[in-house]
Amino acid sequence: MAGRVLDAVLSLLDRQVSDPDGRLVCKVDDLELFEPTGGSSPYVTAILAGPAALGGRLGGLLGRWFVAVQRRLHPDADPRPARIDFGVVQDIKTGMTVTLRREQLEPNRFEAWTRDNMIDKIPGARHEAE
Amino acid sequence: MKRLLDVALGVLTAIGGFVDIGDLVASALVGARYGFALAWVVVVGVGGICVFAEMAGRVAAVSERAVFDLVRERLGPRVALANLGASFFVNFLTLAAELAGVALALELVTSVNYLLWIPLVMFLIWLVIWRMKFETMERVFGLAGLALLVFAVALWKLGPDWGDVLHQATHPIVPSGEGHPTYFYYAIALFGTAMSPYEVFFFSSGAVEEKWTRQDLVTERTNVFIGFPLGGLLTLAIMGCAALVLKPLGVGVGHLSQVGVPVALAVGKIGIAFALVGFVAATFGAALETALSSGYTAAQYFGWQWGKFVRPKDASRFHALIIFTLLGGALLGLTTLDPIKVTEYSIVFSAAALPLTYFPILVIANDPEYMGDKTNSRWTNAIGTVYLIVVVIASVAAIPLMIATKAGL
Repeated sequence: MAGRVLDAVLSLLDRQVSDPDGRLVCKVDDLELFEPTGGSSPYVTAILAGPAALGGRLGGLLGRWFVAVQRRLHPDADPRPARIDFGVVQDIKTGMTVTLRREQLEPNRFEAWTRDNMIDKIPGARHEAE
Repeated sequence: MKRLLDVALGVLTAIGGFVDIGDLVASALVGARYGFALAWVVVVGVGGICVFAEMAGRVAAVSERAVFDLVRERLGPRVALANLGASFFVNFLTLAAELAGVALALELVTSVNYLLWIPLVMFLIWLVIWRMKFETMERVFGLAGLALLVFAVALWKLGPDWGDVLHQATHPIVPSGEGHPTYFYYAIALFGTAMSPYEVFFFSSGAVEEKWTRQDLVTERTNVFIGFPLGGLLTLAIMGCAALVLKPLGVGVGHLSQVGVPVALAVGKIGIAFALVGFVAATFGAALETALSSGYTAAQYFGWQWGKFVRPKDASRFHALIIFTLLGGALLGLTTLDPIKVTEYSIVFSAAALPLTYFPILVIANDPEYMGDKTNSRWTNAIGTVYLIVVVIASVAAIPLMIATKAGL
């Protein structure tokens, strides 16, 4: 993905991220930028996702609340937003496809928690609808 | 037959939007109170939903992006979150009302108090969402809802002077003793019903569930241009029956049981049987539509995996949210809150949030990055813009009119 110039706000932010099997991973809630010294223009290094990243962009009381809830529920003392290295981005169209499968990306704890504690325990959760 | 089944998504979407519990009663109420003087609003509303549902469905077929993806991308996280809050709230209220509505329809059939039916109805809705294939779901409930066509049969059997009906519909006058604000309050309520946002959420997400592609654009258009006019026709038939039978008697409509009276008079026992099947199917369909829409909107805003096309285990937050929404809706329904009032209020609230949903659809339907060569034609844009202006006017006027008229008293 070297050298393509896009308007990051218009073409990257708030887009859907999918894995190679077409499963939905997250939204691009925020971007991590690297600003090289010497005045050359910054470039995108990672996709940031989850309430911690979204909260920062929402701002205000609600935004702080999003971040606070994530902090409270996260096992780490000082959690950072979930991060997907921009190097794994394969394709940018109306959404983004990454080369890694959903399981190989930074785990989405909320999805995993609801799955393990609630949905997977209900009969029929592992079958396609009929 | 295959062709007929292909339009099931459009039919179910329209039935859930046009003849859910609140609208069944509101259409009859309006007919009994204003005769044919508000029929034009239904026609205007059908035009509007056709234009925007066609755009939303086309965007979904070409780009695999459903409506709330577009809302978030074009309005940004803050405004989209405000829209999500409003849409989710309206969805939730409507769902609570529909659960009570199915229960009320079952009470008409069984004479068992509707409160006892609510938990069972909630469980059945969940079971359908959990286990039934999307395609089967839309066919079963879309086609069963067509039993309501018995109202069209009843209207025809009542044999009004059609020339006179047409004259009343095209030269609307506010009946003496009725104020203009109340007339326009009901006009906005009918317009809001036709254009209720959960229809585009459900239709566009359904297009993704059915894996439509740009090869399916003909099917997509057939769904829109058969489904929604059919929904409008059902509304007009219910309104017309009430106008011909209940208005001359001076009966005010406030309960589901009164809606079916003209059918009983015109078609008899068999007619009532069809009407009851139609009531149950239409309210059940609307409950499915609103329950799924609550999951679709939130999942599309936050980027969660959603949809019935994957195993529930793979879309756990989506399914968990639907389960909690259903439980909450059933609890609200069990408070004996009047479901008809609830839907009428929620329609007016949803009218206030409409522009935030329809504006992004219009913008993205013109974006070649999404649409390739399938962007809007100049005509579609002209009509879409006119409707967007109407939607903005209706959304500004909705809540002040509701307060001024004490919600149509």
